[in-house]
Amino acid sequence: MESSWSSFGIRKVTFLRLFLGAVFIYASLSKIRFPLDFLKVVYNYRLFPDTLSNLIAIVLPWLELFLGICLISGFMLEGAILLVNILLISFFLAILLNTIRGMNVECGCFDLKENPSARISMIWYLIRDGILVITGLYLFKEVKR
Amino acid sequence: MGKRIFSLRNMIFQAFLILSLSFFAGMSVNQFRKQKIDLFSEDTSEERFRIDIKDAERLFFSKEAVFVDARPSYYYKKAHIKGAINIPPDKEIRNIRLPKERPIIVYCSEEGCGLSKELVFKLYALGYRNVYYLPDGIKGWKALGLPLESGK
Repeated sequence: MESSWSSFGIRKVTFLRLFLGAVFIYASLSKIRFPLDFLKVVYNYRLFPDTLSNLIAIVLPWLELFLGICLISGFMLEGAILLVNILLISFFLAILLNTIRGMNVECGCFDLKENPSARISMIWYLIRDGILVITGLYLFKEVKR
Repeated sequence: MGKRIFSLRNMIFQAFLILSLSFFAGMSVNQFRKQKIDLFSEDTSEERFRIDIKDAERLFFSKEAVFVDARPSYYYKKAHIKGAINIPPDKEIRNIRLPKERPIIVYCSEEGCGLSKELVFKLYALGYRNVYYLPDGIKGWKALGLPLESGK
């Protein structure tokens, strides 16, 4: 019984790891393809000085891609999960801060070329990122075991 | 306990490696691509949105551009560029319809005021591609003796 529970736990961790990995790879593709559009999104958050925004727009898409690959392949998994959690919590705080400031900015989380009229509210962005944060924290807890 | 410390160090070491790899990949690819981001330029994003006051003046008199006042309504009512519409910072802009085929010139009070740039980025994010901000603001417009109006 214990072993079946533990195998369920392992399968759950593997599933969540693959899910989060796929989400990160998907999120990176549009940003790598349209760097200037992503730069606008970073500027739009109005949280960082210009040079830091430029650096984020250059490095973050690749970081997301590599993290996705690491999560799926299991290569450097511990480090990847640490970074994934740092990123997801930062994204959550950035969206939360702009919600508090009353700025209804474009999330820029996934598809940068999405139809503007189809964009969703900041609350939905928070819920969506919140689910990913919980997934990330769960994986962090499991990987530390 | 010793294993735990080692594991944490390992985790941080791996995170550092992934970060370094992303940094080098991002910087290298950025060097060779058409849509290059200039790391140390303040204008990478903003330059293409900036409009010279002389160009704004020409577009004003040819009636090509739509002028948008990004300041709070109180200041707009006191004085604004003739014919400008007001989109104050607290207004929900998703429901605003502006002509996408005409240049949209956004301004605020003076250089460095920030509200105009902020609105330009929001409009850009909503799909407006022909948007500009006037760095001189209404102060620069007034200094050149260009048409203003008040009220509304």
